[in-house]
Amino acid sequence: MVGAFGGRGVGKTTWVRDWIERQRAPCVAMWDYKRDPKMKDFGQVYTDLAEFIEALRAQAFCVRYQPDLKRDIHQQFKRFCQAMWLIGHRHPIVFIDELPAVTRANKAPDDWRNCVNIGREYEDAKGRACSLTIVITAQRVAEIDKSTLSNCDIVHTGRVRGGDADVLAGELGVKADELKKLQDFHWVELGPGDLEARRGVLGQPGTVVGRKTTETVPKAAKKAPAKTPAKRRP
Amino acid sequence: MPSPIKTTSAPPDGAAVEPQDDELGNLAQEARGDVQQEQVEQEAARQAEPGLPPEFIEAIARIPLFIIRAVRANIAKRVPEIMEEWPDDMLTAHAAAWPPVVAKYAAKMAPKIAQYPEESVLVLSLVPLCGGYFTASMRSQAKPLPMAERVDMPAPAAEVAPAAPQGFVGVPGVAEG
Repeated sequence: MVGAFGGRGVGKTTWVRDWIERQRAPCVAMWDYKRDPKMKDFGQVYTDLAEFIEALRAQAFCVRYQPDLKRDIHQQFKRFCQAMWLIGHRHPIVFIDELPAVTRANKAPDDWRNCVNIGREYEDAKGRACSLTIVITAQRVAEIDKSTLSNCDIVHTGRVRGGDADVLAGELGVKADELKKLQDFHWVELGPGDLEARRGVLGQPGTVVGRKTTETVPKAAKKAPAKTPAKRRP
Repeated sequence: MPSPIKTTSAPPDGAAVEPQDDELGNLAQEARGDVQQEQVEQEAARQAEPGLPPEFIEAIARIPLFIIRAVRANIAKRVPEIMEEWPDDMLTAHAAAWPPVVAKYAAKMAPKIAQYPEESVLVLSLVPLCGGYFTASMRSQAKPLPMAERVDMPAPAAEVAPAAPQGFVGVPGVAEG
C-alpha cells in the first residue's frame, strides 16, 4: 500500500501517477474525486457507477470513476470498494485520490476497511488468490484513519504542516521541521525494507539522497527464518 | 507526457471479457438501484415539506423589526447617540435577513401548523398586536413629557424673603425676636 501526502502543489499526484505507470499493471482503477487536471488523460473516465463497474469485466483496463457530487458520495465509495474487492483476482492497482473526502480519522467505511486490512492478500469466494495494491493521496494525514496509515508500505510526503508533520516525521523517522521546510517537488520517502528515509526531487532522476535499501522485499512477504533442526549424532 | 497505460474501455461482447461475472453484474445493478432509491427519497422529502404561505412568513419576519426598534428606543434613553449609529435603514436591513431563516425552519413547522390550524391562526393574529404594542411604546418614549413631569429642568426657584437686619433669614413658623 502506498500513501502520498503533502499540501497542495507539492507534487504528490504527479509522483503517484509516475509510480503507477512504472508498475505497468494491466488493471488500474481510480477514484477521481478531485477531478485533477493532471489526471485528465489517465485512463477511461466514467461518471456512471454502473457503467464503471461493467467496465471492470475486461481482462485489462485503466478506468477512472468520477463520483456524482450531487449524490451520496459515501454510498458511491462503498460500491467502488465492493467492486475492487470483487476484482482482486486481477491484482489491480486501486488509486484513491484525496482519501479524506470519503473517510474520517475515527471512522472508515466497512468495505474500505476490508480493502485495506485484508485486501493485501486474500482468497475470494471461488478460491482464487487476490490482492489489491492500494495507492492513496491525502493533504491532511489527520483526516485519514490510523489503520490506513499504519498499513502503508511506502510513505511518501512532500511539504506538510503542523500536526501532520509530527505524525509523518514519526512514520519516516525524520524531524518534523525537515518536512515543514521542504520545497515544492522535494520529497521524503520510506519504502519497504528501507532502513532510513530517502529524499529526492520530483522529475530529477538520480537525486535520491539517503542510505540505499538493503532489500526490496515488501513487509507482507517477509517471513521469519526457518529454524534448522539440530543434527542428531549417529 | 502521454500515459504509457493503455486505456481500455469496456470491449465489445465476447472479446477479452471474463465469460461470466455475475457478482460484478449484480453490483452494477445495485449501483443503478442506489440512484433510483436516492431519487425516490428526495421526492418523498420534497412532498413531506409543504411550503408555508408567504404572508405567514412575512408576518413572522416583522416581529424582529418591531423588537429591534424597541431595543433601540430603550438604549436611546441612556445613549442617545444610538439613534445615529442604528439608523432605520440598518434596522430594516437586519430585519430583511430574517425571512429566509424563518422560511428555512418554518418548513419543519409545517406539519405542526397543518395539525393545529386554528391555533396557528390564533398565533398569527397576535403578530399585529405585538407590532402595535412595540410601535406605541416607541412613540410614547419619543413624545416630550409635560413640563411638570420633566426632570431635566430644575424647579423654578422659590421667592426668597429679604434678609433680616440681624442677618438671619426669617424661618417660617419661628417668631422673630
